[in-house]
Amino acid sequence: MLVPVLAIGGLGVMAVMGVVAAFVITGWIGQPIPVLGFEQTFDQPIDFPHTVHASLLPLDRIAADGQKMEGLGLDCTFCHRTVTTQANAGVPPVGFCATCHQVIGAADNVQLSILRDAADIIGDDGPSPVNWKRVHRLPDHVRFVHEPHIRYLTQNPSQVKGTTDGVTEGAAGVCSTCHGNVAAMEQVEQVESLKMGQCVDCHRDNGAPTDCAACHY
Amino acid sequence: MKLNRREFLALTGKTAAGAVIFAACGLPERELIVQSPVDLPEDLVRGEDAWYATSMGDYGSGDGVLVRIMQGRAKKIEGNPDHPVTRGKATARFDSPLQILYHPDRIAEPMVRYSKSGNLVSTTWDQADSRFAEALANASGSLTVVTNPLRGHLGAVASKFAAQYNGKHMAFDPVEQGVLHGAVKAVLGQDQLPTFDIANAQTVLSFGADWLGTWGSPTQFGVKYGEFREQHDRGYLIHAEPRMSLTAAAADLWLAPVPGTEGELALAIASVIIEAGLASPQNVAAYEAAVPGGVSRISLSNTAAVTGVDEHRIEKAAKHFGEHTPSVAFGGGSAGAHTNGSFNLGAIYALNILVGAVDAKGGIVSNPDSAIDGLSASATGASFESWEAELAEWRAGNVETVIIRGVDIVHGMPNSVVIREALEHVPNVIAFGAVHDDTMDFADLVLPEQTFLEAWGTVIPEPGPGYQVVGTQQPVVGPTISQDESGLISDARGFGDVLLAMSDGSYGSSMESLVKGSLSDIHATGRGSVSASSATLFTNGVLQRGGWWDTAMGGSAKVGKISASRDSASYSNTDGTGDGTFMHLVPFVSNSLGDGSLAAAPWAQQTPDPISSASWSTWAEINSIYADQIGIKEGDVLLIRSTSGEIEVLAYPHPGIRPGVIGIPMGQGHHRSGRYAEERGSNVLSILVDKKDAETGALAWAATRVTVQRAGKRVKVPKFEGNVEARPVEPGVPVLVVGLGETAHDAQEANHHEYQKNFLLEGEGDRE
Repeated sequence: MLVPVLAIGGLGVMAVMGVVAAFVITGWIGQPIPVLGFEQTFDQPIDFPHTVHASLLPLDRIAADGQKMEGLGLDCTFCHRTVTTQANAGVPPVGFCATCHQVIGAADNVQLSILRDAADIIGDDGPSPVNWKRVHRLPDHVRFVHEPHIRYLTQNPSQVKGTTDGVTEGAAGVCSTCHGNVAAMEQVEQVESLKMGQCVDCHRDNGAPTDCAACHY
Repeated sequence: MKLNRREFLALTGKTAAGAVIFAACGLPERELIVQSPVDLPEDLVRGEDAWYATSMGDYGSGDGVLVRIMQGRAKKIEGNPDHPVTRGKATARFDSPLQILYHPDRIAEPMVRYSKSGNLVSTTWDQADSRFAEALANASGSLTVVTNPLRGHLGAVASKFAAQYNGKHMAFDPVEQGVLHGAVKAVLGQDQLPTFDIANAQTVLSFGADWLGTWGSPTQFGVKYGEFREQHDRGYLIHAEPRMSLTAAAADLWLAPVPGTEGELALAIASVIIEAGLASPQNVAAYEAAVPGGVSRISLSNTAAVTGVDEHRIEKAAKHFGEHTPSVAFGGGSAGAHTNGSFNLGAIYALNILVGAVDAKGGIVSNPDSAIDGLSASATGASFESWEAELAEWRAGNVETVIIRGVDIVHGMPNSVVIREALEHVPNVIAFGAVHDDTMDFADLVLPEQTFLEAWGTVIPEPGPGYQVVGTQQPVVGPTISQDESGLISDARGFGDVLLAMSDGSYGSSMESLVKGSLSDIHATGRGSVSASSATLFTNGVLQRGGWWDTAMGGSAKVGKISASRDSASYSNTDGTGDGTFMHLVPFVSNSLGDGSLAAAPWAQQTPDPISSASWSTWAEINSIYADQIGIKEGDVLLIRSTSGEIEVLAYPHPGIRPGVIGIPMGQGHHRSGRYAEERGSNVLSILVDKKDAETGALAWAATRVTVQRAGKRVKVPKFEGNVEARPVEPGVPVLVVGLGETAHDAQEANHHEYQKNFLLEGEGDRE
């Protein structure tokens, strides 16, 4: 008598656990909970601080000369040069970083040394690319083109969501809608889900096309 | 906890399923990498293409091309509008080298074979260099460098490298052009092949050479042919060839002579012209001086009997050629590939003397010497006779080291020379290439070679456009990272750079420095298509345009005479080749695969032949009436036997070939040539017999007679023709009838309305 009851009970527990597991897995796939190493960020080959480059505010960092640092307030498009004209925002070439950092920054700065080595300013192993890890990645079946989004939001600043510690004028001011306050991030992480629901909601709110071929072509 | 077998299996299964599900949820690491190169070249900007000018060092006659690069990858090869040879046009073969560049079976790294019977194993470049150096250590006086015919710095480096070791540089061309070079030298006194002013000619008379498809410089000739047909009366093209090639199909008059009688046909044409008084006395005198014996004893009826071409057609061709001048005559291909090839081509080129077409508008245009000292403007394969002698040395063990690039000699040589055995007797065989070929099966060291898209060089087109041209070849793509990002798809190096690294350094350190040095020398002359204030700016200008040319530096001919005696062609016998029908074999160069050098590219494989529309196979063209008589139907597997061997092909009867002749395309039948070409079709080159041109010793590759026998099975010929029902654009109006004083447009309208009226009336009638 006891055995069948246990068996039925076991099956029930299994079923409940299956539902819970499915829920958790779906949750992870949809928007992982930022715990236990599931944060939407990566350690990069170089600890590049967006705060130092993009923020306009005083920072909680001490420079090599012992002074408290302030953000440079560079416009996003200073480095991501193709964001206003092309599909992707563009990652600057190492040589572009080196135009400043062959002079700027302490000679013994470990992170800058990696950059200078890659740009062949120091070391004797020749130039080599830096393999950044992509933080914001859409699935292959989605075509996202930055250019019209930047253009639309620049022309309609009331639709910009999010705030930034960096430049708020022009194209740079609109990035926070999808990328959050990158100027305040020591290490960039994804803060929006960037799932289809979010895209469709925004398209609907702004009268943009919502047919499938708008993104899936 | 105690587990029984069933529970264990269930748990194992669930664990595996769980692992698969969770692994599938993750992203491959490489998809998360965004590479930030050190410098951002213009071709790495996403969404923006960059076009680089370069020259096709291989797979062509020196065509100048533009290559479209997107994010560092080559996507498209087009003709270079600036280049005087291609003038912005391309052939069906242009894009195929891209698939050699990115071939999935591209040789990734050097490979070495430690014993002749061993396997090739991967090695490093350092070890390969050591092995190369060992092979050269004892090679003084016994080194042979084998390449395709090269005109430019690569050829010069190969020759100098061989000379450094007191060795030989021998070029190999399966479709030998030595007879053509010899005839041009004898009759026109030129070391370089001339070009032909087809665009300004009223009549073009060609023999054997499929110049619109595969012979000479098809891109250059194709552009000129377009202009030829744009003339007021569209010009008149007469083509003599036993099979209907692309050129024969475009001709206004096609003559299909018995193979090897093209010289007789040319003499008969000259005879008609002279008899009809269509040539000036001076030209007749010059012609008779150039043709020993003249044409006084030529009888049209005899020629018709010998050549198999109707008397009236010979007369028609001759009169058109003599009356509608400027006229130009040229030949090559199968017309020169006979035991009397030199005589045939000599007689053909001498026709130009008769009509005053040498160095004249609408006629023969001579090409000058090279603009760069030490670089030849002309190159051709060594004669078959020389190759037989060379291979005898290999077999005798007198050659220590053989270096091979650009040619698959095992595929290209006839069985009669027993090339495999010869290679087995060479202690060190070093083969360069992009995709493993048949020759590499006998190599002790296989080195991955850069394609022309990755290497520096110069290419002097032959035939040139009538003036000095130096085409430049530059790397338009860098090394490509493999898909799994574990390394390069091919750690290839340039052939020239490897030789220079192994040399004593006396003739250069790198191909790039050689090319730039020569361009600097040209800059110092102050002439040509690019002018700049400094050598660096000049070099950039030349590289941007794909080359340099000087239209003021033309060539000139010095009329000589035919050096070969007027012999009839002799053909191989078919003794002991078994039962079947005796036929004359005329191999022809494939429109897309060439002689087989592009067989590895699937685009080349799938390009339909312009005549049969067949692809991916080896077929045999047989006259359809003749095929009916001997009971051969399309798709019959035929055994083609010569005294040199046997191959299997698919029968393709059609009307466009002379009865008794069997035409088989070259290019297939590779044992090793990448996944798309291996064990596909048959190699017609293998069954050629060792007949040679009496004058030059070149292989008479169209002098083989074969026995044709059905194998008793049938396979569908892979072709487009017949798959879709042929129908006129507008059913019922297949022909446009133009009345007197009526324009084509009027006629079209009238016919259209007539058709519509009939159609509608029929419809009404039906309804009633």
